[in-house]
Amino acid sequence: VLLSIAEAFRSVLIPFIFGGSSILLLLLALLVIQRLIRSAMQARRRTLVLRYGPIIHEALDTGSASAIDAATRIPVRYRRLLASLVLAPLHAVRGGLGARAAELAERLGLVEGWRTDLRSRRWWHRSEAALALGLLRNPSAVPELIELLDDDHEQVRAAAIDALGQIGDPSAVDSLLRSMSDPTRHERARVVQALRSFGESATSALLAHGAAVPADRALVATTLSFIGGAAAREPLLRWAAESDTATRASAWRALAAVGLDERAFYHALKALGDDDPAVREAAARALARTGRSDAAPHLAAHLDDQWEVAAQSARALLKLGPDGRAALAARVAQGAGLGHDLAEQVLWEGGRR
Amino acid sequence: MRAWLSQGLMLFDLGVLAYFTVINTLYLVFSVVAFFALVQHRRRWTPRALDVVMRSPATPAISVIAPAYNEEATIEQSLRSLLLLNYPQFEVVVVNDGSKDKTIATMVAAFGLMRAPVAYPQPLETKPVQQLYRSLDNPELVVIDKVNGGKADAINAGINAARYPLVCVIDADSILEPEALMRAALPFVENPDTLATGGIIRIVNGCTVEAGRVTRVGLPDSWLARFQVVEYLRAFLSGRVFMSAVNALLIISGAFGIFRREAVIEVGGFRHDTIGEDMEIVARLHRRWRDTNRPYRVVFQPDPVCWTEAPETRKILASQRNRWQRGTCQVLSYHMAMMGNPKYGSVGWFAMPYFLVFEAAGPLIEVSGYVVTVVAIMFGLIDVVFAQLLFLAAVVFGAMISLMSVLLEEMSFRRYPKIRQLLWLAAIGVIENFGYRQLTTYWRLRGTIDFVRKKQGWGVMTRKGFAKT
Repeated sequence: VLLSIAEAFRSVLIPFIFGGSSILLLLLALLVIQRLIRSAMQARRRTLVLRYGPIIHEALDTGSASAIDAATRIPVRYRRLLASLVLAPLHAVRGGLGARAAELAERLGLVEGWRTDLRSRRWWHRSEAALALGLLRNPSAVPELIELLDDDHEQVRAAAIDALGQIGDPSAVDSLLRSMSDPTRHERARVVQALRSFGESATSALLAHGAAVPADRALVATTLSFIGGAAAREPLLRWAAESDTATRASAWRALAAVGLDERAFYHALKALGDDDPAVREAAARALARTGRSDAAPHLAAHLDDQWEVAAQSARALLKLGPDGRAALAARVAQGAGLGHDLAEQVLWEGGRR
Repeated sequence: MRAWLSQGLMLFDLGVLAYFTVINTLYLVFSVVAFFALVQHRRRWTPRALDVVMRSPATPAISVIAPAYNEEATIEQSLRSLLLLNYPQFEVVVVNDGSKDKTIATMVAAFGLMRAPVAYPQPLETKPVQQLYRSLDNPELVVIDKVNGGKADAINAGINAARYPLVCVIDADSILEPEALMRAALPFVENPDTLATGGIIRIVNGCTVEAGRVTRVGLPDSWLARFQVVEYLRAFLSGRVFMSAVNALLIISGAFGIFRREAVIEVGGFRHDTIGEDMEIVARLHRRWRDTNRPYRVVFQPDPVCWTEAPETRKILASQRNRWQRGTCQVLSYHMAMMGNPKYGSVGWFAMPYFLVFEAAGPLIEVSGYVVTVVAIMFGLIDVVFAQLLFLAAVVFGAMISLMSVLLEEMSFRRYPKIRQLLWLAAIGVIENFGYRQLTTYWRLRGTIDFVRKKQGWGVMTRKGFAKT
């Protein structure tokens, strides 16, 4: 009986396994074919690049009418390929090439296509179009790109920010700042990077925005800490005396990055006595960058402050040279406490360096 | 007498065949259910939907807890990768569990750590925290230096120090993909009853790692590691997707899991006296919430990826499997009251019996099945048809299941970009059933025996470090 059960079991198991394995192998074959088709498409693209690449490169390098005419004779169905060929060199090189690429893109009808794509319902078309117009530094696209800063899709917003940074039109600063309130850090970093590429024109636009919209001053000050120049020092000093603690702290962080002059130095010493620990911490950080030994006794007084302030003061003292080290050593000699631990640690680290 | 013996052996063999058929059929069902669940998951969580979550003020902040013990070789790179995670608000809490090497000194030098006072409530009891460090350069980084107390103790110390409502427990030597936190946190945003989620663990051996990120996905050179690639795909993409779908998930891997902090504190934190602390905490959460009749979910998310290094030598792999098996047996023994108990829902009537039969007792059944069949045929006690059946039900059917897992991967996430890799994976899925699975079964059996003999200890895991992968 047991043997017959085994035989019956075998008569079920063998067809099942055979059928199941066949289906799985067929599925595997289909998936391999799918991948092969993709590979073939990539190979086709490589062939087209070899065929049309030299024509586009000649048009970009020489800008001659005959080369541009040859490029316009490339079939329209290869528009996406043409677009990538025209834009590729712009990622690395600019100068005269940018103007020639813009002209060629216009003649090939690419610019018109990208402007239409900015309103495409497919997010990747919107994103590609924004990046392309940014690379071409097409100022007429700025209003449409600003609209894309509020796009639903993250990639499109990111592309719009990058594009506005490439174009560098100061009229976009306000909109870029607004998009900085986005909670994703990735986007904030992008906006700062975009504003950095604006140069001095961004600093003045940012300061004007901060002056006009007090609620955004903390944000503006934070941005200036990344891109601000000496021109920002005076307004930042004014903001460092405001009643809003977030603005004061951000202003001191920005001043730390911009650097302190004689007047700002004394304001920083005063800020060490601020009620808010974030402001005291930022002031200690700013003083560290001055390297001035006369700040040492003021910073030493904060070695037993709240941890953030104390740690920042200890690190600042280490940077102030012999006077700073002496203040740290004195605190170590005084005995136990937060200041003792921090002073001991930074002196140890300083000794290792 | 011989006839009786022959009858008995045939009956035993039929039982073993039934065992193999049931486990492989179950996996077949898991794979089919997982396929539909994965399709639904991918349709639902489009980049746009993810973006909405990222921008939502309701997205909860996370404290990432990374216990570290003698991680000098990899800690800096791992931490840099962690600090670059894409998530609106998170902190990284590294717990140095009394390392004997320069783990702390490496972190102090690399991240400008400063001593800070230990001034926070510690609801979970742990070994003493000697020092807290914070970074002035990276305010989201906190390092705890404590007396050695084991991984569970280190995690509990990290949970005590965590500021945020969710805690993500990871291995300090693993690599999380930048989007992993966001994807793993989705169930918490979607349903506030979620207690814990886990992501998929993938094998980093053979991949290129640059600046703490996996930049090229490849297959390992070592055959042992290759087998583990398919093994992990089978366990995660089939098994855990199914278990999650029926809210019976019993394991959230210790290498990457997110828990609601309050829930973990309510059940008393991770247990110190088990080597299966990742499974145990999940079992305890199920138990407490079912006991108190509160709605809850424990979810597996298939797309947040945590890359980890797999053992490449038989000795280390054997030690790992032995430890996992002892951990499983320990957890089942702690929570035997849930076994088959309808009060505990799908965990009681399905997950616990499944683990008892196929995970705890499985190795004994499998090894005895192989041995008895071979010996009985050698002595002419049973018909050769039983050997054929055993081969079909255990090896060929098993190979089908492995192949199915590879296809699930190809149809869902397709992380291995080359056709050659897909074909290799398919081949490995078949080959692993001829020797490797039997070897791991033997190691698991040794684990069960060690559990019965109450053997303790973690064994040794030697890491190469990602720079060489």
